[in-house]
Amino acid sequence: MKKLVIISVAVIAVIAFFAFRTVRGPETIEVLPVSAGDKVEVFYFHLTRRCVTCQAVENESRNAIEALYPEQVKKGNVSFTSVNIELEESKAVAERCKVTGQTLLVLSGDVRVDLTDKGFMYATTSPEKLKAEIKKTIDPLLIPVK
Amino acid sequence: MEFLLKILENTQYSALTALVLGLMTAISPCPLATNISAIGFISRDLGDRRRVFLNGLVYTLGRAVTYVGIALIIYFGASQMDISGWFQKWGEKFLGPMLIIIGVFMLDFINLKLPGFGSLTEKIGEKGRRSYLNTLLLGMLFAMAFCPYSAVLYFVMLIPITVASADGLILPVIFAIATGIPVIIFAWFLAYAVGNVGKVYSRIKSFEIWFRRIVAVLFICVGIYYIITVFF
Repeated sequence: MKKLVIISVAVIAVIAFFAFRTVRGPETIEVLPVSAGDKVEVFYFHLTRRCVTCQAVENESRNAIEALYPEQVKKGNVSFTSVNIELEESKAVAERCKVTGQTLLVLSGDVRVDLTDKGFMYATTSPEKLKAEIKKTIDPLLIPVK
Repeated sequence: MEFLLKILENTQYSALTALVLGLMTAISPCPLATNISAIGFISRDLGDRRRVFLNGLVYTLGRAVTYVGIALIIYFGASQMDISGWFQKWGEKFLGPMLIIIGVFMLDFINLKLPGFGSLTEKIGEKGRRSYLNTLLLGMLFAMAFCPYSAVLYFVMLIPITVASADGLILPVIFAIATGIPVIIFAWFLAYAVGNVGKVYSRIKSFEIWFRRIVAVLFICVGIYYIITVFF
């Protein structure tokens, strides 16, 4: 038994030694300038069966967009759409967005920003952070190129 | 959960990220059901603590095989989107019926004899090398059952840092260990606690048979739970 514990600890130590050499690089979001006419579309793709966090991602994102951009939403320049990816009628929009699973996506012209990880990280515990991420992504897209 | 999220947000080490993602997967409500079944399954040899501990390690190894396997398929060029989409769509759907089938065979009510394979019931319950193989297969199977939340943790958060470099392929192993740790600890604790009681009353053998039946019922109940939540 003791041997077994020692071997397990040794294996974990070796894995940890190699693994900690892999350091995460800085995250980059590619934001290209877009024309003033481009709308900002936010999509939340989900499955038929949804967990608590999955529902929170949709609710918090929708609330954030409605709170941050009420005028643009009214004018139709910024939109939020929730799509059940398992339905037949959603196939076209999923293909257009190049999505196959649960995704929180911001689209505008050539710009495509995937916020899924941020959505699932922040929606239930700190929705204000998700709101800040959405703002950080959408704000530059609303400034027309001179 | 909030504590784990804070670590996730602030760490620069991908290994720590994988560890935290694995723990988050293990304790999130959905995979918890499979983990509870796994605790029952790997504790079925209550009288032998060493075997329970080994079963826990083998179960974790099974999970690692699946996680590394999927990562390798993506690393060598398969479309991450297609694979992620497939598992998100089907991962949970096959789990319910599978759990019920395993549970029914563990109950010993049906004794199916397959030509060349002997009794299937004996194989699921039996001790020895085959028992470890069953545990390994269970780990592999349970790891494939991606729920909506765990699918995001694995495919959206872990896979991108895994496939970024060859070094990263160690990350799914760490992720698997983290998902298996609670199962190993609980199973061992259970075997330790019940094992002592059994020794006092010298009834461990009959208790083991009943415990096995309880585990079988647990499998069937969890299977029914999955079928109800996924299909209805």
